[in-house]
Amino acid sequence: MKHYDVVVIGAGHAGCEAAYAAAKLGVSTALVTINLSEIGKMPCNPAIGGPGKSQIVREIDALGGMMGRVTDASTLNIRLLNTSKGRAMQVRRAQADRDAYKLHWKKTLENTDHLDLIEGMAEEIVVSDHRVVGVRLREGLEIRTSAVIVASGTFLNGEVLIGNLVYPAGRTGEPPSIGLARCLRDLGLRMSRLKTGTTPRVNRRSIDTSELERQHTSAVPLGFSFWREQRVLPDDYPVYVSYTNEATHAVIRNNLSLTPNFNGLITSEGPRHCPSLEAKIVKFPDRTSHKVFLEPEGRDSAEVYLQGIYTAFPPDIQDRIVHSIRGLEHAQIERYGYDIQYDYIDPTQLSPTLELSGIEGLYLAGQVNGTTGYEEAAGQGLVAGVNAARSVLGDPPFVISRTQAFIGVMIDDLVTKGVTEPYRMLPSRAEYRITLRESNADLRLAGIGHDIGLLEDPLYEQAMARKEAIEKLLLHLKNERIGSRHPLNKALAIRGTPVLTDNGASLYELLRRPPVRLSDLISSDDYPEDVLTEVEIEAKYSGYLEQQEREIERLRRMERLLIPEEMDYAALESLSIEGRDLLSRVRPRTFGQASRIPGVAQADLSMLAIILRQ
Amino acid sequence: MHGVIPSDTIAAISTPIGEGGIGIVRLSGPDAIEIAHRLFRSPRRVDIRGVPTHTIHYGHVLFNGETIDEVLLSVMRAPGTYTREDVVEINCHGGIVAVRLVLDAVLASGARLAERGEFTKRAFLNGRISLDQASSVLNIVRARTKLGLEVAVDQLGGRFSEQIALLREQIASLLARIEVQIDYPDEDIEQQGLLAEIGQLAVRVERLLTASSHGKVLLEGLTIAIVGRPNVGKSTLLNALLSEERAIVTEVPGTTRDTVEEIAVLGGVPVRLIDTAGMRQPGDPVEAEGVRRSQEAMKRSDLILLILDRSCELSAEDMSLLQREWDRPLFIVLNKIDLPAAVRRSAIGSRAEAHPVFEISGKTGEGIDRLEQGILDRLLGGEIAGRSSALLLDVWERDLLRRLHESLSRAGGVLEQGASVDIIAEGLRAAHRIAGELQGIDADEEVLDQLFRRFCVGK
Repeated sequence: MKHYDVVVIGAGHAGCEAAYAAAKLGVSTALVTINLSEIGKMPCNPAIGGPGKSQIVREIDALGGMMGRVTDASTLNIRLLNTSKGRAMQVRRAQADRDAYKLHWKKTLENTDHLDLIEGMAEEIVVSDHRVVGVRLREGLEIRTSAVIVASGTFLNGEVLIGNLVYPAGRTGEPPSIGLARCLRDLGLRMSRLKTGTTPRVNRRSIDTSELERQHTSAVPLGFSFWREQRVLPDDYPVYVSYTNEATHAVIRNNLSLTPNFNGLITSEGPRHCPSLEAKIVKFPDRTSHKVFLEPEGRDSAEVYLQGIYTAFPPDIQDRIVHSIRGLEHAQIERYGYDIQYDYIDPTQLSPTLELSGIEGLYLAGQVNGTTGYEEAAGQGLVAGVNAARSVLGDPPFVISRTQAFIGVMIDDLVTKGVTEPYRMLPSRAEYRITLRESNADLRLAGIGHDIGLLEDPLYEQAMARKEAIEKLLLHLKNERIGSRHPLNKALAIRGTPVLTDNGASLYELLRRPPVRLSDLISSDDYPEDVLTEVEIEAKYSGYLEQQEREIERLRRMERLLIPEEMDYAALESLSIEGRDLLSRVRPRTFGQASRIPGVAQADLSMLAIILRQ
Repeated sequence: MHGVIPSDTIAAISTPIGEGGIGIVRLSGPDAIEIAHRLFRSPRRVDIRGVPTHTIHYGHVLFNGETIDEVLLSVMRAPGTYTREDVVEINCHGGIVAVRLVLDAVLASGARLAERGEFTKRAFLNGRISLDQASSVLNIVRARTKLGLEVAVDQLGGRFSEQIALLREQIASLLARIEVQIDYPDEDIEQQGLLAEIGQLAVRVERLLTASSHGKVLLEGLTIAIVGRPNVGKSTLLNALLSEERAIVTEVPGTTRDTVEEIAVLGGVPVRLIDTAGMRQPGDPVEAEGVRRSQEAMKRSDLILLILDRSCELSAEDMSLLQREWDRPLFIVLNKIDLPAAVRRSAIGSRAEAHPVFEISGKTGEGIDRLEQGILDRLLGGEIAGRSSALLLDVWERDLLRRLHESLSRAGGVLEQGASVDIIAEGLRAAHRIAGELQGIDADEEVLDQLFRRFCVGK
């Protein structure tokens, strides 16, 4: 019988990152997938990044994961978003070449030591005495292991829906995982169903972009990874923007009974952040148009993804919808949009290491935990992969807190609050987002990534060098004082900010004034751009950063109050019945986590704090 | 069942000590019934250890073989009690002396005298009431006036919580409009009128803060120092303000023979009046000590009444008191208007413009009503705080309200200066969090709910 330390089931964005991380930590790892040609597939739109998600990609990169590097190697165009919303909220988003992305992942994994790729369908996780002992594949292969990471995406009891048609599938064209779903249910996991959708894809040669607004790739060097040279890409693969109109909406309104969203076939919750076009029309009847983004799928593909019009109408209605949109009048749909319903596991059953409480060695990552998005999946994959490997190596658990990273926010939300709709990361979910910028992910996390053995030495040293340069420049600005006779005073007057008195001011104090730019104060040629930007943010946002630091410290104090793992909530009769019920469902590890469980009353928390302090 | 906190049995007199005929001694804790049993004799030989919960029994309290009082005794078993512990209430009929003797007997039999508010503390610790409710109850316990009591009861019903809930929802709605710009950069959603709306929210919080300062006054009362040279009629004024129909609540012995403190109730508000020693320049050491204490008293006061005798010329002392910088709100009171006037208002000069002047007669009572009204108007911000405009808040709640106001003002401020969206959002996010803290809930999801309800977003 084969033996691996860690077995990863599923080779989507969670599975790839998990397998890479586990193998990188030196434990023997197998990645099992139904179809080896679909490793790292992007079944939805071929875009990576955006608000909340970009932070996650950069955090994975800083920790030593691969998503950022693979994305950069397959990017068609990339842009910086939110440039007018303040520097702390700026994020990048790339259109990736779908096929190139898959190939880069496959190549990366095939060249990773300690990692084997196996095509096959996992049907059973063998558990003995509350411990994982093996995995059985449909093909008859049995693997002995002590840690399994389930990253099966939408495959568990997956069902594709188009119009009145419902058929079992993990994604369109691929079989669902029925056996694995049954196995997880038999293990006693609380499971439920969610749905999500995709849009029609059309042939590039059949559309007319001449009249459409064009989104160009960045004219300044840009990429996700801290470890690759940032580049300017040729502007050959722009995204085009068109709009739905009254005619589109009329088609939808007149045919609502034909879509599974309204004909009763869809019984599960879909994502509010990514609604179907029919949901948009019904929910916001006053809107006369909605944006449609025409996203290129790849260099070697003529497919164009119509982002923004998720729909599961029957094909003839989808044709009419698409043809009513400017530029798409003669579009030929190659793949029709469809909805998919699938099983997910209530993530409150997981600990922040993504291990299932109650079954030692069973980890879950990605869409199977009720999330949506490649980036969210990859972030979980990294955490699950590292923890599975560490459990094999006998190292303590690896937990990222919500004060450290968007990844930490996401996992804490999942295991503490659970989900009622597919969970997407959004900046508004992160209370310390000014501190957790995508621009400083390396400064925040490279040390951690290096400590756990995921980030290579030279990359760690590169991050430390940047950190040092930033700190040095900040120190210089704080120490350097100028007085009333300094020539800079003229510049201050021109910028409309008070000139200096005889007491003078430090350059840092001047930089904190809104109109003053760092380039007013020092010769910016002496420093790399990514140092200047961070220094400027640190100064301009210092008041907010300091405030967040205080709040983070307060939260840390609450996190330090640990709850014993064997805590018997049922016996705490001084707590309300609802409180006891919620606490024993989530089984928080710290008082801080308990305080974030929705619905737990303040009185119960006060009581719990008193009990824990005794 | 007993509370999770292993506790002893406490007892206290739970009715105000006064002249009323009935007083209640309340016991709470694991031994409450056992202790009562040791002292209680029923004519029908009822053993209260075996009686059903929430029943009342007639009998006598005996201690050391002597009958102390005829009582009605209520037995209430945990958990259906205020403290969620076993509770016994002994209704005594023999007046204040009997109540004290019953309490002494209970304490001698194994109970401990409860600390102030300890019953409520136990109710909270045992999960019977929330912190918010607990602090309201403690306010009731502490409230010195009838008006204060009414406000406290009102708050127990959650009026403050409702206002904060509404406020928080409105902040969430505003925030959703800002967050949508960060979360969905593709949507081009422009926002108008944010500044005015943030401003309106800040004003609402300011009103709550004002109401809470009224609440503080209702709860803790005002301290008013009466100053002036000897013989201008300070004591007469004090007595006039304390006239019988205004209900003296209690008499507090002066801290020294040089200052006398009394508590009166004006318009439902407790007022601590300090009659200070004469403000003559200190000549001998004893007098110096008196003046020093008077000045201490003034430091703790909220308002100073400077008394002048209108019936004789202003002395150098009067003038120096008039010219002095008091660092407190000051009323100038011209006393003895029942006598011919020797001082014209113009003699007070510019001080009359800076400070209100009242003409009264402590002896006949003329003008006292106007002075009282002036005091109330001044200290309650121009209006008399009634139930509708007063809030009783704890220090931490007032502090959170202040921080809420700061956050909103800051958000408005930076918005006005043209700050970027991320900065404006920080102030509102802080405000939303603080409002949640005031309510004791985590409200993160609300902003997203609002966002998705209002905006059609998504890829």
